[in-house]
Amino acid sequence: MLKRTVTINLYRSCRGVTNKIGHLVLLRQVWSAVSLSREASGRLLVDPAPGQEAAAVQDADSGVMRLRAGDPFTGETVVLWLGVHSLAFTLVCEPHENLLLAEGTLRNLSQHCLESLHMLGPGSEVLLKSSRIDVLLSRLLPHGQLLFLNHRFTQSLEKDVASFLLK
Amino acid sequence: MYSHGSESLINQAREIQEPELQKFYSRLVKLLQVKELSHETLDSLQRLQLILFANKFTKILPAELQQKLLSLLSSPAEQLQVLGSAVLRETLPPSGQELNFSEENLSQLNTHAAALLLSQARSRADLSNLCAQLIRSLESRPSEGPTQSLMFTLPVLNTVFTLSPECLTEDHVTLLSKKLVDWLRYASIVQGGGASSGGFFAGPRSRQPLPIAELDGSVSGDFFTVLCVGQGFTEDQWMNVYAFSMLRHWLLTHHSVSNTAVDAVNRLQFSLSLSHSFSNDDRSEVEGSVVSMVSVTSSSSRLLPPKERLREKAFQYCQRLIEQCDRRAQKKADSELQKACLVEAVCILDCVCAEDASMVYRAFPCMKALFGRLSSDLSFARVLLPIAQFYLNHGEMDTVDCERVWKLVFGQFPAELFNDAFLAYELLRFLRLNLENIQSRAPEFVQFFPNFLKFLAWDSPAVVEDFVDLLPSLVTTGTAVELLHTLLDLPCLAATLVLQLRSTCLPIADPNSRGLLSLEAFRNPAFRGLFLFLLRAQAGSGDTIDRLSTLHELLAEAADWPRVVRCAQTVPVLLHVYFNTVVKMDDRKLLAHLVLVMLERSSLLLRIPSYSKEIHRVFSCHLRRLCKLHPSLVVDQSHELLEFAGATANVYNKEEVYTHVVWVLGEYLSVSSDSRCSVKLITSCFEALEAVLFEITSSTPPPGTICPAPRVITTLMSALAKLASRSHDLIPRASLFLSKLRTVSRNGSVAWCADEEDLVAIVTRGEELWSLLKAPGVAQSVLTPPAYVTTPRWHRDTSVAMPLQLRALTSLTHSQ
Repeated sequence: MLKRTVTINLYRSCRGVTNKIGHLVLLRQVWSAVSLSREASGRLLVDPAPGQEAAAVQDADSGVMRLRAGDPFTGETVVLWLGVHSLAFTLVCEPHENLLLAEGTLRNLSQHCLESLHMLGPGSEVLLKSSRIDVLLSRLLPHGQLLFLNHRFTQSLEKDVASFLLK
Repeated sequence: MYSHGSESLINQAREIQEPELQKFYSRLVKLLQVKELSHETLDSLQRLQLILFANKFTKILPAELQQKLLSLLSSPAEQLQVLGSAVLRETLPPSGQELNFSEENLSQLNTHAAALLLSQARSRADLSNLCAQLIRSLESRPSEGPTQSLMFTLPVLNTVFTLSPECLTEDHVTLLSKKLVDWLRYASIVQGGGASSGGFFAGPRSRQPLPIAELDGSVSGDFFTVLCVGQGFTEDQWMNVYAFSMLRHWLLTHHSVSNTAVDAVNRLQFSLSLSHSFSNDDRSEVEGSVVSMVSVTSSSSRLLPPKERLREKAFQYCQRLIEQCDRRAQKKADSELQKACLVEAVCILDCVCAEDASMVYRAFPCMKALFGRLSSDLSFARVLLPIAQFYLNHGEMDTVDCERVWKLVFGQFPAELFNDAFLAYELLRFLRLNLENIQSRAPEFVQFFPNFLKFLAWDSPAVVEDFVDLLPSLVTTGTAVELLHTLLDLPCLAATLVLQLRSTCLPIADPNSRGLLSLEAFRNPAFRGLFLFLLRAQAGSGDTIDRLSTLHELLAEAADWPRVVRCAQTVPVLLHVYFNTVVKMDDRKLLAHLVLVMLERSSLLLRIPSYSKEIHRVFSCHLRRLCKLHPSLVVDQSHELLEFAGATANVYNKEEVYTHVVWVLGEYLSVSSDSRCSVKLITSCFEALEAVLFEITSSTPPPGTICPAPRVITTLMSALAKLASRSHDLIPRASLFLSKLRTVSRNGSVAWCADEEDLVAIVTRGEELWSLLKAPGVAQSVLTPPAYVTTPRWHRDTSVAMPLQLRALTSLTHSQ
């Protein structure tokens, strides 16, 4: 049962809706999609412990939704979501984008978010250190661009992000 | 993670009062005046961002603070850039001032400042300016500069031409096309980052830069692509990645079908030189790797104009990627990337072939080989879909066997991968976007509707929208009846799919498996046929099965499984779509058959709470509608309708449908609806309804049922009156019953009506009908009105027109 969901919207700047009401509509739809999916699969939710981020992302529920034009974004969009315990990560894509790549990117980003902000623990870093997410996005999803990164390129970018986090 | 601490932080941020906020602003301004980066500055900036995020309304910051934040964008410390940009994006820009970057400090434009520029661009002119400046910076690069400063340019440009493709001028497009060709095809093939050969003891002069490698570890023998690895990367290799990442979108946006004479000449020259270079070029072998055929043709394409050249290079790049994907990657992440690259490569090839038809002949051998390689591996299903798209778009040009493709996509994927949410989305999208094309090229897809419905049965909420769009195309004269049965049994299909998966996952003797009874039934050979029918891939083997009630019993315990319940909730929606489509087809024979199906199935549904009720409601609505459109249906199916209406049990357990059946009988069983309607028919109908009415109003309801709804009784009475008005011999009988009813109810309460008010309503209606029947001629025109009375004609009707005209004139001339 999702008692409290924090949805981190990895939305790309400038696309579609620019007001907060539209985003709330999206969040509600994602929340209901995640709950329905979990209820249907009947899986028992196990509390992932800090340090098990990779496994948590591996086992996470995932799904995809189609949003019609105007509801709430101006054009038709595809929404990918990943549910890690009581957290949901969402990525909004245009219909022509490569969903396999988007899925991989979402998982990667989610794992990094979980790790760098210790989201599996009780802290509030996600609120007070959200600039980390901005930097992460600026490297792995710059201006919303999905990137075809093999493991070497990813490593190089992750090193860059890590050096930022250390400062 | 979401602790009380977080919640109180958010509340604090939301509830901060204006004076406190102003104090916070001034403190922040003071902090920002200090040159050094301190923890307090960062903390305060972070808190400011939280306050702006948490509040509903966008705030305007004081001008001084705005200025300070703007200056952060060019700070050497990235944290300040990030926070400055993030905060400013959440606020409204000061009016009158524009965020402008002059030429000098554009070279210092970083990715975070660019993000801010994009979010605050208010007009196409702003975007065009930004575009022009960025492209200029791409053209004239300073010899030294941080690698970062170039890399975000392509993503920003991608965003700009997503928002507004007109921002790029023809010159810009040409220039970018040239740069893209350079990055895609001519990126450095040695490793960057100082990686070199030679060991610790090798001197600087004997160090050779290492060549790039493939994902399986072997040395690369061709140009650099996203699937090449190295210890470090050069700048142009990075740009190769960025360029490829936006290539498809670029080609889609700047799509140009080449059909001018100049282009034709260019293409002819190019293909001539192509054949020339094949015979002349020397193909040298590089140790340990395979030379790609693709790069042989590169030299001759210089003859083409930039856009066409980009197309050609894109083609070569994709062919190389497809070759590279045949290698086994050493890391799992890379194998996932290979799949994504395959999809992208196929899509780009599809795109360029759409622009230049001559490329189809070059692309098809590659596609066929790829299809042959992947078609037996279901884990590549999502790659096979774009290949199917390619076959659909270009299959006519080459004599290709598309049959295998459709069999795989329509026949195999839904049957075995119905529980893959992403595949479901992509396959249904493929159907939706290409419906017309598929209907002409592969019309047999309609026969696979049982397969497609598996996606719906498994995950109704996620795909119901798609089916609302797709269902109309699946309704044909040949499939309509079977489709209706399948839709009604969709919850059974959902349960069966769950059982199928459980059956394969769980060992036979697992004590913990839920749904043991139904699982046993699923595995029982005696019932195999039932389940196999539900799981069929294609239509045509029969509308439904005889032992449907047995199946429903076996699946009784599935009635509360979440998937089954959700599925049951979507069936009424789709039935409405179904009937709306069927009505448009205007096939009377089919509609007559459907009426029978509705009657039959109203008692043959999986027993899920409120499912029957919802389905009955849908049936009632459409029964009424069908009979209104084609009143002769009632006479056509009078036998079955009478049988249904004459069964008293139906009053209690199928009240809604029963009411409507009686209503349509009363309304449309007349000579004016169908000349075949005989007195004998009217009389037998009257007798059947009279018998039921007598029965339900003379005794208590059978044990276990509640009293019949007043509406049933009044409908029965009205129907009797209508029928009597058409055959005047029946009037005495009707009047007799109605007067008896009045007498009985004078004694107070009755066994068959619990509510006094309801009884009063029934009796009142009875009295109205009785008095109406005293004047047979009047009764006939009231109860069986001619068609022109029931269809409103508004202004066309002279007697109605006058008051309407007067009213319209009055409302126009009188001011409010």
